Amino acid sequence: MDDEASPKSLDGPVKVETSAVAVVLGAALLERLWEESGSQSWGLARTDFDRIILAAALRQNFGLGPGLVANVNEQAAFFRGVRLADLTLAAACADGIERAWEHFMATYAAPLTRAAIAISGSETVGRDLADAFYAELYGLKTRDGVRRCPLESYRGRGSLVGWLRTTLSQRFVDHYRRTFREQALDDEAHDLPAAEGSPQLDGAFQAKLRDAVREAFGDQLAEERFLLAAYYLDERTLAEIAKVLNVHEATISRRVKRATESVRKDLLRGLQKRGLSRRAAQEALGADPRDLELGTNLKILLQQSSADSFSGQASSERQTQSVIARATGAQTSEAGGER
Amino acid sequence: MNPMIQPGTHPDAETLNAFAEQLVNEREREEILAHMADCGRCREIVFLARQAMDEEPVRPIAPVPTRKVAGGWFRGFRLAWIPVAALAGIVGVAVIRHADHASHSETRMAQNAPPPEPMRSADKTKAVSAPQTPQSQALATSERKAAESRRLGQDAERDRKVLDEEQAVAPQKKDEPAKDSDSVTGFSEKAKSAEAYHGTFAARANSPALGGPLLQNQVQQNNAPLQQNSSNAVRQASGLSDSANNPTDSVMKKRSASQAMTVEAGTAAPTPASPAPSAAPAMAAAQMQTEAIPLAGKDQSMLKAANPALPSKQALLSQATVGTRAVAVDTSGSVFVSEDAGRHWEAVSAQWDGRAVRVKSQQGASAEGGSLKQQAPSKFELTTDKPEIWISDDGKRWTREPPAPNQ
Repeated sequence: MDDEASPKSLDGPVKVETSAVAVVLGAALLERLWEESGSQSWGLARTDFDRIILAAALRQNFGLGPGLVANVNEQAAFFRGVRLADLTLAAACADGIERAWEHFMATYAAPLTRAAIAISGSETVGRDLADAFYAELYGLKTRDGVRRCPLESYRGRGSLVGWLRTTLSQRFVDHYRRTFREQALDDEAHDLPAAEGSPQLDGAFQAKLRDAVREAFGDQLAEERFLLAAYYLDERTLAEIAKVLNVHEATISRRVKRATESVRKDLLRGLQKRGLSRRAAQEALGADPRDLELGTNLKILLQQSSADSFSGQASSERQTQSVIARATGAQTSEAGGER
Repeated sequence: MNPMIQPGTHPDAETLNAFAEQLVNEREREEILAHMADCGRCREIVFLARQAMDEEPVRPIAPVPTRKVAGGWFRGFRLAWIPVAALAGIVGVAVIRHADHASHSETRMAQNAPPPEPMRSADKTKAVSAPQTPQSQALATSERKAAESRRLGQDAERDRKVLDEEQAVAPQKKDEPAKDSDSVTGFSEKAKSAEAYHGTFAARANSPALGGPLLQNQVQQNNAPLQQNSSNAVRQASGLSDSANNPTDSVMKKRSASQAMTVEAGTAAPTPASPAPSAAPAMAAAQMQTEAIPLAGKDQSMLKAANPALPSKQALLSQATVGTRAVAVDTSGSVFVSEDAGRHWEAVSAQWDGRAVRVKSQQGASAEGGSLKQQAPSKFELTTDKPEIWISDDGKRWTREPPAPNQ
């Protein structure tokens, strides 16, 4: 960071660089952004601000699709929609400006540590997680010989602290996933006996039940499926789900109950449509879902070697079967069985 | 935590954070929910991030500068509005009941009073009516002025008649009209005394030489909506025979008291001394109030002193004092004299025909440089029902005053 060059950059020969940014963004808009960002309070130079703010905007192409060129109004609208102060700080940190890091650590070190402890549920693990995250943020990791800072991906849409917490959660979940394969499976979970009275499923019956399950869950709205998965699979409480969806937990309770009844009715209807009698369909709902999941899950795991698109991902049959088990009153759960 | 996470492309931290902070639009929210319904990893991330957010201590919010004026006491006041409203209601009911009681008293007094002139009542009704439009107010003002002028004309006519009667009784009093109107309280004139006073006032009000402009101004002020002022002005006017140019409250009270003494002494059925209402609805009622002004405390004792126990055991009809000598006439027409300011009385033999009806002290008057200069009272003047005027220096020996040449 060149602190002394910043005042000269407005009037001196270095002004060419600022003027180049001003050509793109407009001098008036730049001046307004500089004032609104408040970055001068923690020592960011104006030239650095102009440069990093332009780079951040160009990375997102001012919120437009690829190939489009933003006019002045679209540029102003883009900056109105972002958290300018947070975006400036993150971009400055990613750029390696020392003053920015000092301000970042002074502002976010303590919240990040607390978040890591809360996420991991352990102070030791949390502090380790936070330290590793600091190192990652600082750009100690390199890719192709280039220092990579996760803060570059921050686009200023939400708050920076929220982004840090979410990224920290990602790191923790990914770490858990990596270490999960190294952990010994709980023997009890896999040696649980099948529920008494659960019908033995033959191949044809399994196929009918799987198709009926897929159809029943496919008819549900995305939010209803999220509710069922969070409540029955993840065993989240109504209050936790309510906080995420920003509604009252009584509302979540009603919607979970309604979605469960809807899935049950659709499943019975689907099984009857596939040739089962009503009595046989009701007996099929009492089947141990673990008998249903093995073949399909293995097949899914084998087939889904490549990633689906974000919006077009196929539903997890294993999850839906677990939801079925809960919705139809089975005593054992898929998740519990795996644990 | 469920470690069986579905592989695939996941929303980045920016998107998940925007979802957690409710910053995504509906379409994007549906996409994220659809993904999270199938993706345990992203569900886990969102729930963990939310859990971390909840664990974050709430930042102390900078104290907003609150207005002290609208602070605690006002909040308490808002809570206390119910008892305040109840108290206000009680006070309101009490005021209404008091007003009803007062108006009832006024109604009774008005019933005892001579029937008021219609125009005067209408005048007062307008005066106390609700706020009116400018046009109606102007019209009402003009009507009031016309009615007032008519009323003053009628009063002046009535006053002239009374003065004529006065002159017929006491022709020598032409040169002292102020005292005449002050003491017209004979039996035969009793019923007309109130109107006579008012007529005298009206005649004076019309006369520029006797304080007319001031009184006219006061008459106009009587039409103001404030009935208290109206009542005071009327009371003042009723007793304003010789103090028209100096209408002070004290004078009014004294005169009203003296009138009440005379009236009550001469009334066979005395009017109970009820509290005079502050708001008189009509001129007649106010006039009646003037004659029945209650005498409280000191005035009551004065009345007792001025109403001595005469040897005849009759009620006092009239009394006059010159120095320590006093002459009194009772309701039977007997005359008594006292040389010790009314402590002891002795009867005076009748030296006249008929019955004595009034006695008063006579002031001598001398003309000096064209102006009247009053002297201390030195004689008693007795009026009989003939009518004849008798003069005495000591109250015992009386000589008849010759009648006026034009009588």
